[in-house]
Amino acid sequence: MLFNSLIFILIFLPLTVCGYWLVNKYSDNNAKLFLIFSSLFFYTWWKVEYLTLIVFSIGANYWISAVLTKKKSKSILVFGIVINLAVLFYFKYINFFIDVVSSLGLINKSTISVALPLAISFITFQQIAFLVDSYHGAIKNISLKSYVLFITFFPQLISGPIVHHAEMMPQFAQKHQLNFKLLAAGITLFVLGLFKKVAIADELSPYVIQVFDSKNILLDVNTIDAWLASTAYTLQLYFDFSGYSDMAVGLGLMFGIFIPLNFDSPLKSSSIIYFWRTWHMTLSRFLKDYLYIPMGGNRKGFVLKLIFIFITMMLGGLWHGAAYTFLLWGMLHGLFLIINHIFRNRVQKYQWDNSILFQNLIRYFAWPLTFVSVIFAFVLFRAETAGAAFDMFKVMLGLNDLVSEDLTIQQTKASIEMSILIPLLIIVVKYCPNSQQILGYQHKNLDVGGSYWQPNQLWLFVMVCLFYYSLYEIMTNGYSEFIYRFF
Amino acid sequence: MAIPSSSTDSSKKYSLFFVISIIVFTLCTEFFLRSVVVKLERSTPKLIDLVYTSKLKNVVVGDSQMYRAFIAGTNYVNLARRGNPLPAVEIVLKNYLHNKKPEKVIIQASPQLFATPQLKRNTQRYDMYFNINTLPIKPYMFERGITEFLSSIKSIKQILKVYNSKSDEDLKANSEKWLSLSLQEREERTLSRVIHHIPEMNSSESIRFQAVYLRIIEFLLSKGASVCMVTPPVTETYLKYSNRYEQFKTAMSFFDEVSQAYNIKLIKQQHIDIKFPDSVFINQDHLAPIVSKQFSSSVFKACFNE
Repeated sequence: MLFNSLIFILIFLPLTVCGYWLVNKYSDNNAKLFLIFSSLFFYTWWKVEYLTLIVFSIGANYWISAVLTKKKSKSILVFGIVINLAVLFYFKYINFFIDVVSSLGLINKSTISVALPLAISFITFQQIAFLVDSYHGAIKNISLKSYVLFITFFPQLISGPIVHHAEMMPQFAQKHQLNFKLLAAGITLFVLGLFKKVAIADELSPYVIQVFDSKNILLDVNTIDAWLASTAYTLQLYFDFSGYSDMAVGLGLMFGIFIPLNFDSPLKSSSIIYFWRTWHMTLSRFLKDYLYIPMGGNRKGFVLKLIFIFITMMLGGLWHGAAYTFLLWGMLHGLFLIINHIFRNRVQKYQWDNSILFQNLIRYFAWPLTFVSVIFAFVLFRAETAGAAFDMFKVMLGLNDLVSEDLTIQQTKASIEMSILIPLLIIVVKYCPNSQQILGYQHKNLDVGGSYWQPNQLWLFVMVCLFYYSLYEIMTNGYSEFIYRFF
Repeated sequence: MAIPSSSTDSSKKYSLFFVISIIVFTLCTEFFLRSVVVKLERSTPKLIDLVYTSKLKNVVVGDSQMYRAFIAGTNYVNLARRGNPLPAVEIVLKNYLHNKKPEKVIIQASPQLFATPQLKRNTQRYDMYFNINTLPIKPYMFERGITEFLSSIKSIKQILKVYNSKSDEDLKANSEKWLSLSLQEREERTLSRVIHHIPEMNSSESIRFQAVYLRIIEFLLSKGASVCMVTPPVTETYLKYSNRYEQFKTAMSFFDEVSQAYNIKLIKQQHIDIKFPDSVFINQDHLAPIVSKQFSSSVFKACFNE
């Protein structure tokens, strides 16, 4: 069941929210059970076969965590992590592994028919973090019910945000009362996210497909279309995933739960370092806390820090999918980060930031340079193969001499529409407040409000219009999958 | 007793009115889909609505030739539609009969069912539709095959026209326009249509379609239906031109073989005791409604000895 499907919006969600608060009126414990069963129902709507896997995985991790809480054993921790990674490896990376090994001539080329269980990448990370923290003694007296809810809570189950037990468990342990302010804010955030997905991301999608899935990029795509499509994809991905995350956060609020933010206007960033602090923030946090810092972080000198960053980004890229394109995307961002860190280091060392010329350079060039770098890297993220990505790079950089004469000007209606829409969207992502700023969502203080949004008639009217338009789009165009659903 | 703050009060109103807006939207959309969208002439929503609402156990299936030929009868449900390729026919039939026991079923047996344009059409997205067929109550809002066609409504005028339409516009069709053309124009158009209809029996796609045809027959027989195959009438000129192409004969021999193999009657134009001058057609290969009642009753008689 997708957040942008009518069955979810008009049936599952109203029934679950009403059911939860109704049961909660009489029993807080039963309300949690109700939420667990609703979440499992939500999960099995896609494929009932994987219910066993998720139930087994939750049970096993809870048991290992209980053992680790009682006895700090490194071998049990390693066993737990290996089990989690083995499941992830089998379902997500086995065919990629076979492909790599067979290309080295070690085995015959073959494929194993295995469907990727929904949300496995997200669930695995959450459970590994839980085990590691159990080992470090950061977990105390967690009930099975709270743990199951922490993993299966449907607003964050499918594509994150990757929640941390420390921020979720205490909330699940609390007794909740229906808070209309949170409910109203949740509805608003959900509608904003839905609109971002169906009215913006899905509108950009056909053009992106048209260009990126061309039979022969070198022959069929001109430089302008290549840049337009790459920019369109960056915006599509941003509105798709941040829209999804807004919906998830909004859904959490409807149950009185504050889910961490995943985006904080990353496309406003004036450096790649800042971009990674604001793009898919919960993944970055996980990679930093459970990979980069354990590797050594910045404690072992500047050069090793850069190497650790590169490795972290490479593995982060691979987390997105078993393909060379994701690996290269991660490596390219690793390289960008290294350059950024070296540059920052030089600036501090030689105190360039005192110079007016330098300040002006940063003011005018930092954002465009970061934005273009992000767009450039996302070509790897979107392309079907690494070869297709390099073809696209060639076209973008004007290094392609194969393109036919008649393609040197924008000639399709879609290109013209995009050349109007994309600048408008760039203005939106660069200058407008983001969803949480509009709502005044304060994850740390567990509060909303005090910002642009007010639960008044004007906002209600605007939200109803956006909601109706989104539903119309879903009904006429059907609902498309979220891009991150496949990761 | 706690006094609610103005903020809580406004949030409560905000949430409540939002819920009301969802209910209003749902009810209005459902009403609109049922009273306008499913009435769109010759549309997929109209066909889906028919599949969901009709209780008749006698069925006619095929493409527009069958639709036009059987448009005026009342003792059967006419599930034939323009350009419906065989996989689409199969989906429609299976959905219609999923909770019914059919009695008499008439299926088209025309060479153009295997023409290249038909083979390319495949399922016409019908495999994505009929998603609420198993529900006891059918909310049309959740039927993709109906909601997708909301976008084909372009103006208030169109809405009012469809909403207020009492009779089926297709029943008003006649041969006037066709007969107003010169003989040469009619010949040219007929030849062009015949070429468009040339069947392709040996391609892999056609072989797949032939298998679908057999599957439909077997499905109907397994459901206990009395099945009859019918080749809808076409103009003399159409017959003259189509006889020039060997492919039409090959296609007809396929239907003859199916008829023999399954012991099913195959009714062709010459088996019906009706004359088919140009004046009973709205064009080269579609019967006018004026003769449909007589034709359908003759076909049922010839098929099932009624």
